[in-house]
This record gives sequence, C-alpha cells and structure tokens, in this order.
Amino acid sequence: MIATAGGPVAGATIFTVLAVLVLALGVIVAAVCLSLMIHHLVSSHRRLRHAARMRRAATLLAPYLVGGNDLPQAVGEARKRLGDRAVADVLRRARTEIKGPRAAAISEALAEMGEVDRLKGIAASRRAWKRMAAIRGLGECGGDEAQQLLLSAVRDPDPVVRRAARDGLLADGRPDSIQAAIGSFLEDVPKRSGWRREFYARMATMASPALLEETVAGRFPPAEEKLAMEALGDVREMRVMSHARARLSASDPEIRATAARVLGKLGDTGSVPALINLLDDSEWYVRASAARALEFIPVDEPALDALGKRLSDSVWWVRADAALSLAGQGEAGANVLITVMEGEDKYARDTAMAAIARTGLTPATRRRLRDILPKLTADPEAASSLAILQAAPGVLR
Amino acid sequence: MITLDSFLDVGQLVILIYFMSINTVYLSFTLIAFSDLIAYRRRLWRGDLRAVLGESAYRPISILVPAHNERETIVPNLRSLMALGYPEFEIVVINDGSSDDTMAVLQQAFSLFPVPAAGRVLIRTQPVRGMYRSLDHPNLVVLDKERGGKSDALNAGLNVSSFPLFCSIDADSLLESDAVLRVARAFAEDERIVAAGGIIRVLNGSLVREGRVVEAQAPQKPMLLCQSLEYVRGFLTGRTTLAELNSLLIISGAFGVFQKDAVVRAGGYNPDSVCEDMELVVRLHRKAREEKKPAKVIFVPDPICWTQIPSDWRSLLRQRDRWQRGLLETIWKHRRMFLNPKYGSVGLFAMPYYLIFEALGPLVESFGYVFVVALWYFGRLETSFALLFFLFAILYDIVLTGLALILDDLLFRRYERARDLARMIAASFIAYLGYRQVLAFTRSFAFLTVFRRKRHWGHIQRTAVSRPQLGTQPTSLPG
Repeated sequence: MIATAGGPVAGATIFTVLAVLVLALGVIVAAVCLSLMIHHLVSSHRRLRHAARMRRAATLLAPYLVGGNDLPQAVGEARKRLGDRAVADVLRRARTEIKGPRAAAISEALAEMGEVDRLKGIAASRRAWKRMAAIRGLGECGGDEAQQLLLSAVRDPDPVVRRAARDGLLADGRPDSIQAAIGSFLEDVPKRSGWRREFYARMATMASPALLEETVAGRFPPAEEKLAMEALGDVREMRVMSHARARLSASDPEIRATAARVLGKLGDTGSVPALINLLDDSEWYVRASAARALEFIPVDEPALDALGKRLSDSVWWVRADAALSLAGQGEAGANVLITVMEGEDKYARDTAMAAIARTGLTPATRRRLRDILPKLTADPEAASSLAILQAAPGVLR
Repeated sequence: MITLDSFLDVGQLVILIYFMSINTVYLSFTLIAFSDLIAYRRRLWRGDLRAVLGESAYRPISILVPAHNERETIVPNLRSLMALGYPEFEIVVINDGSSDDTMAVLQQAFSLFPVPAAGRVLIRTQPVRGMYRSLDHPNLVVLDKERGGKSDALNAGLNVSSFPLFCSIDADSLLESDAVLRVARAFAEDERIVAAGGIIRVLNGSLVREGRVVEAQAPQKPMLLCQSLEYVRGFLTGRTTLAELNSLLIISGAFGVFQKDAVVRAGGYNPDSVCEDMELVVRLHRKAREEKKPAKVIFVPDPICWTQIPSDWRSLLRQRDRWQRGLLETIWKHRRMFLNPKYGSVGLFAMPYYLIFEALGPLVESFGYVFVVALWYFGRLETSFALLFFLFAILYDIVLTGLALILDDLLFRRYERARDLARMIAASFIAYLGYRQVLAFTRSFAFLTVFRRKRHWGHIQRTAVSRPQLGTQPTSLPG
C-alpha cells in the first residue's frame, strides 16, 4: 500500500523492519491465544476443584458449626481430606453468619489452623490492596488476635484499609472494638456521604445499642447525627424514640425533618402533637417529613384536620405527602379527603382525588363520595381527575 | 499545484499517521484498562453486596422499560426483572404507542387496573393515555402513551417515577439478578456519580431459562461472534479507560443507571436525537461543568445486562448506521465543548477522541481500502509491502483483542466452556474477512445521511427469550 519513498535502500529497510514486526506480532498473537486457552483450562480446573472441596467441607463441618464440642477434631479431619484453603474459606463464611459462642469457637479453630497468622503476614504487605484483603479476612476470622490486628489497622495510611478495619471491628461486636471503630471513624470522617451512610447502616445493624448511646450522648456533629438517627430508625431501634422526640425542636431543620421521619418509621403515637406542630414549620421538607410520618401512626381528628390543611400547601411535595398520609388513615382520612374535594381549592381537590383513587373505601364513604359527584361532574376542570376516579376499581363501583 | 504523485504521497502519509495514532491510543486504553480492572477486582469483596442487601445504605431505584411492539418479550422479561435482588425498586413500563397487542398482553399477565396519572410533569412528552398498576405486583406501574419514540417514553417514565435513581433498560434485555445492586453500590459510595453503565453481553447463543441466563455460550454464527468480540473489547478496554479519565460519553441505552435529579435538570432525554443515550450523557457532562458541580459518569464492569444483537445483516447495518449518525449528531450539537478548557477532560480529550477516532475512523478506514485500489490502478502499489502492512494491522488488532479476552477471562470468566473462548479467538481472525470492511463503509455512508431525521424505533428481529414455565429445559437462543 505504501509506495516506497526515499529510494530502494530505504524501501528495503522499511520492508525488513515491517517483516520483523509482523513476525514478532505473529509470535505474540500465538502466545496470547495459547496462554489464554491454557489459563482458562487450568483456572477452570482449579476453580471447580476448589468449589467441590468447599462444598464437601461445608457438608462435613455443618453439624459441628451449629453445635457440639467436636469442632476442632472435625476441622482437623476436614483439613486432612480437603486441604486448608477450602476449610478456611468455609469457616470464614460461616463465622460471618453465626453469632455468639459458636462464632468464638469458629474463630479459635481458624486461629489454630494458622489462618490468622497467614493473613497477618499478608497484612504486612506494602501493597494497600493486599493489606485490605487481609484485613477483610481478619474481620471474617474474628477472635482476640485478629482483633488486635484490626485495632492497629485503623491507623493504616490507606483509607480503604482503615475502612476495612472498621468494618471488621464492627463485625467483631465487642464493646472495645465498637468504640475503636467509632473513634477511628470520627477522627477520619470520609468525605463521601455514601461511605458515611454505609458506616452508620452497618453500625445500626451490628451494634445498635452502641450507636444509640453515642447518638444520645451527642458525640456526633449534626451532619453525622442525622445519618445515625436515620440508620437507627431503619433498623427499628425503639430506644431512639425519646431522643428523636427531643430533636423535633432542634434549631437545625434537617435534624427536625430526620427526627420526624424516624418517629414515623417507629410508629410513635406519643409524638403526634409535636408532629402536628411541625406541619406548620417554616421549611417545606420538615412539613413534608412530618406529614409523611403521620401516615404510619394512627391519629385522631386534630391530626386529620391539620393534614387536611396541608392539602393546600404551596409546595407540591407537602400536598402529596399529606394526601398519602390521609389515604393511609382509613375511613377517617378518606372522609377528610372527600371534604376537601367539596372545597374550592382545585389543587387540594385534585390531590385529594388522586389519593382517594388509591384508597380502599367503606360503603359509607363510597356513598358520601357518590353524593358529591354531581358537583364534581358539573365542574369542567375536575373532568380528568373525575374520569380516573370513576375508572379506579373499588372506589365508585 | 497538486499532482497525482503528491496526492498519493500525502494520502499514504495521512493513512500511516492515522494508523499509528489510533493504534497507540488503543494500546494505551488496553494497558490502562488492565490496571484499572485488576485494581477494581481486588477491591471487590463478597461482603459488600451482602452489606448493601442487608442494610439501608442503598437508594431505591425506578427501572424504566420503554416498550414498543414487544409482545413477544415483554412478559418474560418483566418477570425476570421482578426477581431482581434489590431491596426497594419499582418497574415503570412505558407502552409507547404499540401497534400490536403489547398493552393487552400486559393487562392480562399482570392484572392491571387504571389509576390517576398523578405526578408533576417534569418533562413534556406526548400525551399519556392512561396509567395502570398491578393487583399482583404493587411495584409495577404501566404507562400507556401516544407514540413518541424511545426518548419520549423514557421522559414519560421519569415523570411518574418515584425514586432518586432510575435505570433505563431495553424491553428485550435481561438483567442478571444482582446487576442493579452492583451498580447501585457505586451510587451509595460516591454521591458525585450522576450516571453509571454496566457491561452489555450478547444473549444470542446462550441458554435461558425463565428469563435468566443459565449458561453463557458464545454464538456460532461468524457475524454474531464478531459482534460479541466488539462488545467485549469496546466495554472492557474502551469504556473502562474513558470512565477512568472521566471522559465517558456513552452509557448504553440497554442498561444504564442515572440520578433522576441530574437528568431532569439537564432536560431529560432528547426526543429528536437518534442516539439519545449518548446525547444525554454529553449533556450531563456539559450541564455539570457549566454549573461547576462535580459529576462523574462511570462504568462498572461487573454488573451484566444481556441483550439480543442483530442476527441478520440488514438489522446490523441499520443499527450501525444509526449509531454513527447519533455520534455525529451529538458531536455537532455539542461542538461548543470541543477543545474548550471550560469542559475539562470532556472538552479537551473526550470530544476530540470521539471525533477523530470513533467518528472519522471508519471514514479513514474506508478511504484506505479505496486508496489501495487507487494505488494499484496507477501502478504505485507495492503488493508485497501492502500485504505485509495489512497483515501487520490485522495482527496488531488481534493482539489488542486477545488482551481484552484475557482480561475478560481472567477477571470475569463469562464463558465456562473452552470451546466458547476458542470461538471468540477465531472471531478475532475472521472479523477481517469482510465484517469490518462492510461496517466501515456503512458507517462512512452515515456522513451522508446524518441530517436525515429519524426518531422512530429501529426494528430488530427478536426471538422470544423464554416461556414462563417451571421445570422446562432451558431455551437456547438462535446463535
């Protein structure tokens, strides 16, 4: 394709170089293809063999993992037959699922078979990814020796290793481990909120009493307190209720909103008066959170009226959340919605109609709805909402 | 004065320089991808996925499924979506003016009932005829609307979606059960991420049972094999590297997860664009930089979406023509970003890269083939040299493809059977026996048709993936 330029000598040189390159590439191609196939075949065989060994190890050890005193003997037997790697992997995975004294027995077995020492060696690597993998493994192993290594790993120069160490300490669950994890986290709060949310979620799942204690003690700054409260609400930690009630009057609106959401999740009937007050908050997201929280708490007339007023809120989210809350209150809430539908506020009317269309109605409420139909039919602006109401099953039919 | 000789000399030089540049870039991409993917794999930990499943750090997600004449595939694919392993999600199916009985099929299969189409209209779309929910599946929402195209359908889905993240998938795609989890983990880790794509794998030839891929197998037809190879290389080396450089401009419409808020602020999908997925991502980048907000568009290599690829030449060429026109259209529309420092790596690297190598590449390649003929015609062709050079180009490309296959096998191991891997290796050789050339010319012709407006869905002949029967033998897709 390329006509030779610069004369026959230069052309011959270029040709030779190209020929050598083609030859070299040919060799590389052959090497790449061959190594790919060999690697595939060898690694397939290894993987399948390891998986088979793990299955057999799991079968052999299962009865001893959940009870009995012969775990060390069973582990020894399994190691002889199936090798250390398969047995160690099974024990590590089992330890993450099993809690209590059995977990301690598994940790001892792992330490005795040298798994902790092996990971300790890798944890001294200069490469951060190796240290991280080892620290994760130590978190899975548990036990005293592993705990000591995790405690020192929270001061590792690499943030990913520190994070792995904190996770391992949380999994360990002992009070000093939890304290060390929290202390390390607060010294080194990750910039990414995702990492922070995950930490709190993990703490709430593994050590909610400790998280609650720290939250109530005010150890967290406001941005962290929100995440901590939310995480405790998500795991339905009822003891956070009194703290959340107190925070409904916090000066920070985001704390107020979070507290409202948490109380809703916990279904705290005692906080209803305070939530009703929050429906008049100056910040829309606080009003919306309070409205939404009331969906999950059975309420009486004052709350229903207050929610009905929020159907005329200037912010759509607040109106929608108030409508959903009323729809969730059964017949009493449906009656408020129907009353709003008779009013002059078209925003509120349409929002109420949308909520009613999703609500199961009692015969009495359905009769009441049918009674106001003529007025709605006469208003052309209500036509589209009315059509949907009429089509929704169980509402008018 | 330009003589024939000087034209031929300049032509050769241009081709040679272009050839060296593009292959240097591809080699760099491959090496960067190796480093990046190996590091990614090392960071992965089985406990992470378990943690996301067990805890509340996830963010709920809306899965948007635009559907147009999908009666064959919509029900089994929705059933497989409902089995996704994700703590909280909703599925929003948008029936975009189907002329077949897609809507009736949905109503029967999922016991749909009408509900008010309540919600703010964030983005204007073609009229919505109705909104439906399912008695059996509370997290399923179906929108029936006037035809407006895929972008319009997605915008309508955005209007009714409830959650802060959304995932757009094609109606004929199959997601692996933890695909959404794997991508969503990235959003939980880093709030700067506005969009994330996963890897698209070729479904043709694989064994499917009840909407799940039970065994991945390489297709048998050479044309399908060549396409599979393109997907492996394009995703593993190309997108990985571009994402690493924060220069990824495309997230496949077949599977992508986005921050709803960011997309709405950017104006949603553009219904006038032929390649709405790329155009949206470029706009997200642009908006973020204009507003001086941090935004990342990433590629997550482990979640997998399986999709059917064109199994006949006509569909394939139509698809590639559309992709090329979409690329050109997007680059032209956002030409202001080109080499503009205000847009950071996107303006200074990504836009020039996509223009010079992705858009112009087929044109230069086609020109090269024509040029060879011209050289021969004018007696300037050194046949042995030309053949050697062509061989060099092929082998170089095969090396890069081989490295991508090594990466795929080493890190993700999608094909268990050695013969599937052998087929893929063979495809890297046979791709040069006409496949590449046909595609190069097709994409070159797109320069002539780029201004032809085409908003409607292309048609790809689809095969029903599976029947919802328990205990049956897995279905093998034609491949």
